[in-house]
Amino acid sequence: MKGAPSGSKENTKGQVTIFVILALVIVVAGVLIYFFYPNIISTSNSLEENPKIYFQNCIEDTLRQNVETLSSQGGSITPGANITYKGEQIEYLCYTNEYYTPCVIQVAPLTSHIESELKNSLVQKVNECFDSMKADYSNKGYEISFKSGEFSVDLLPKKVIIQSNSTLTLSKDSTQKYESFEAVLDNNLYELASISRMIVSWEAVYGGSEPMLFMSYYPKFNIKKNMQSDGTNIYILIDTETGDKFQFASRSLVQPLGVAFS
Amino acid sequence: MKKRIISLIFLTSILVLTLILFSMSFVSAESNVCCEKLKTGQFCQNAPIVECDTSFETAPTSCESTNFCSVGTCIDSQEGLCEGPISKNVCNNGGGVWDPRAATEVPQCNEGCCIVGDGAFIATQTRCKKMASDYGTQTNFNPSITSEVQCSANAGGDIKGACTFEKESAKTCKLLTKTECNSMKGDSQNSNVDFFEGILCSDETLGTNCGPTEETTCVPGQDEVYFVDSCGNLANVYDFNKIKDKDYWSKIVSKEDSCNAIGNNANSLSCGNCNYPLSTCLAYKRGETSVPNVGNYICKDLGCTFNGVKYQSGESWCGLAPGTSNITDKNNNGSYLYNGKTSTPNILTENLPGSIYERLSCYNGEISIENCYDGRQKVCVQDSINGIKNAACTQNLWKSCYEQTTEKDCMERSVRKCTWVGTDYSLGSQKVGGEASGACYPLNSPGFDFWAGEGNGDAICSYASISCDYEIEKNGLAQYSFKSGSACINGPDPKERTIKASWANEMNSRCIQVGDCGPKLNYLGQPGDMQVVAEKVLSGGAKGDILKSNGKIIQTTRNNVLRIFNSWKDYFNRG
Repeated sequence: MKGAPSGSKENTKGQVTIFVILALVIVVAGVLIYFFYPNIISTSNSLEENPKIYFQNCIEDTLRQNVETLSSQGGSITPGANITYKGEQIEYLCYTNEYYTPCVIQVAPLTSHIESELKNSLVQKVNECFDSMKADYSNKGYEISFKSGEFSVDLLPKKVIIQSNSTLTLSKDSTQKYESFEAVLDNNLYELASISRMIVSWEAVYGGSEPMLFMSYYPKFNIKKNMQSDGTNIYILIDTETGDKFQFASRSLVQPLGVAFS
Repeated sequence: MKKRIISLIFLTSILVLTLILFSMSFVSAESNVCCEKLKTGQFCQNAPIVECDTSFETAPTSCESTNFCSVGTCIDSQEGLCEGPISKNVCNNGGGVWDPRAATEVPQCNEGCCIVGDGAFIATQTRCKKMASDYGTQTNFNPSITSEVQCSANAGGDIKGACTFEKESAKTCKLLTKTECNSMKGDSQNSNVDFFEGILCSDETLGTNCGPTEETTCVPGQDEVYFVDSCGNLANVYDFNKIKDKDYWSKIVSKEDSCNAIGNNANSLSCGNCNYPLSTCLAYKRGETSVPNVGNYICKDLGCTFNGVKYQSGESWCGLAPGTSNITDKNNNGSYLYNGKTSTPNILTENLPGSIYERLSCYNGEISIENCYDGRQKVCVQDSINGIKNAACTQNLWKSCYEQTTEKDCMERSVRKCTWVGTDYSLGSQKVGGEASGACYPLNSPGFDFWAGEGNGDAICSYASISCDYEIEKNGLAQYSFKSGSACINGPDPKERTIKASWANEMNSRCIQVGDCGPKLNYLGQPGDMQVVAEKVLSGGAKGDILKSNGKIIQTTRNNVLRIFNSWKDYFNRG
């Protein structure tokens, strides 16, 4: 009987230890989830999730990266005629090599050009995403029927959308057919390109534009113009609500330093 | 004989043809042609043929006259956009449809008023359809309205109101337009849908589960701070004094009738009637904005403070970049005022080599800096209209100053920006002293691209070059006297035969005023070689008469040439 109280005490101690360990496990798990939650979500695409979400998760980072690269380079992944500004090659959207002459627009139609550049830059990634999607579902025991289709990139207000009309049919216990795939990026490249287009048209007709004028029309955009020593203007447009940025170069109505005799 | 004449004509023809062809090839190598594309990638540029990309077209004429580079309108049929002026090849390469006419003459580019959601804007019909499709709404296009103002007046035509309905046996409400409310009737989950125009969902008489709160919010696309009801609907503009006012929570009150409608209400703790561009709705941030009486949103002041001066959003002013002048033009007629005091800049401290005028502007609480133009081809001039500060990078019209020989022409400020200096020595060809009444200089002396040489800086500086010519005669008593040119020499006696400091100073100023010429400090206050020379000459440190001839610097004693130097720097280093 003497042992009973002692045993009860030990039981109590054991229970406390278990509770402490459980509490620690819960706290550690909570901390891990807190710090790694977004990654946990994004890396779970290879399992049971919807193929449409898989597609979005697979391509989103590349899409974002390419949109940012293109936006900082005047709308092209590989800029044509360009100027180096703060280590970045910025494409001329309007250019003249002569003095006292308005520039000639170099890229048009701008929105379609950007869509086309983005599409070309994403062909490989889109194929990779579908390949890995097929491999992952196949490894999970699904029977797969895939019909490759075209895809498009569209700039829309406040977003960039990739739409693919590829078809995927998954069969296991039941059959499910997915007829279109879409990936969306929140980015206001659409409006940034629209305003850039207007600035470029102004430059081609009148020469240097007045950023304040455009800002008064588009109050949520901050427009900066930095003149370089050769007369090139670097335009930097920032959507103040989203922080999205687009920059391009223009060289128009250049004046010689002195008097150039032609 | 006839054969010989024919042979002669034939030979002459060949000779003439050869000469024509030779001259053509010579011209094309020297002068510009139209390159469809340059080797460096730019389209439609007039350039020497050697710079053209040979895989594209060239034409021995200006690009305006070619087919491939002629400009017109580029139609993006997918987006419904018309861009111009754009050259044919650029448009076609980009997948657009090119039309030689101006956009105003192309039917597809005709614009009208497009209403999408609450917004209205001028666009083509195709563009309008595209936008409506992007936003998932119906197309509302009116081709008869082409004015932006008239079009904007049509925006948000539907008046909002309380849309009450029963859902899951509870009577609730949404703030919608009548059209939006009517569309809810089609949803089987909603019953007893009713619309009350101009009434808020928090109106007690509606008997819904929505009521007043102390919460506020910002609305995308609008600048005011709004109250929010307990169902999450927008109510009226935040007005702390009406937080318990039942009427204010009952009817929609316009912005004009809301609190302090004429003020900017920046940082107001009690009124959220922000007034863009002076203020706009923003979430309260600790340490950055004031704390509103209720809610988490406030009218943020969009002004800026620079060097202790407060500027409103939209105001611009000239920065004080090193080596530039502070120019104001109160009457807006070119009668510049420097530093608010003098009519000309200080030539020793302002418009210095390397200096660039800059314009600063405040917008949305952020200051932007814009460089006017290198070489002071543009200068920043500021003014204020009705108390609003305004600055502009204006053209520095200096190029015709040197040619002006009368004060009247020189000071014609609407044509050129020059200043007249009364002096016996005019510029350029008139180097003979004592004859001119003055000289015309740029008001803001320009800089030149001495590194590239395209701006002919040396030629411009040479307008200020002048020599001290004098003749001295010696009589039988070994006495010296001036025969001519006494203005620049201290005296005819060999011991006095040095350059007058006052003359040297005047000539020094002349150099400085012409442009970035002669002895001048740069914008960082550093002297160049010529500055050192000038100081030595003026202080009497020169070792003899110094002459410049054929680009060489010759140091002499009285009559003998001692040494020849290639530059002033060499002279001082070796001498």
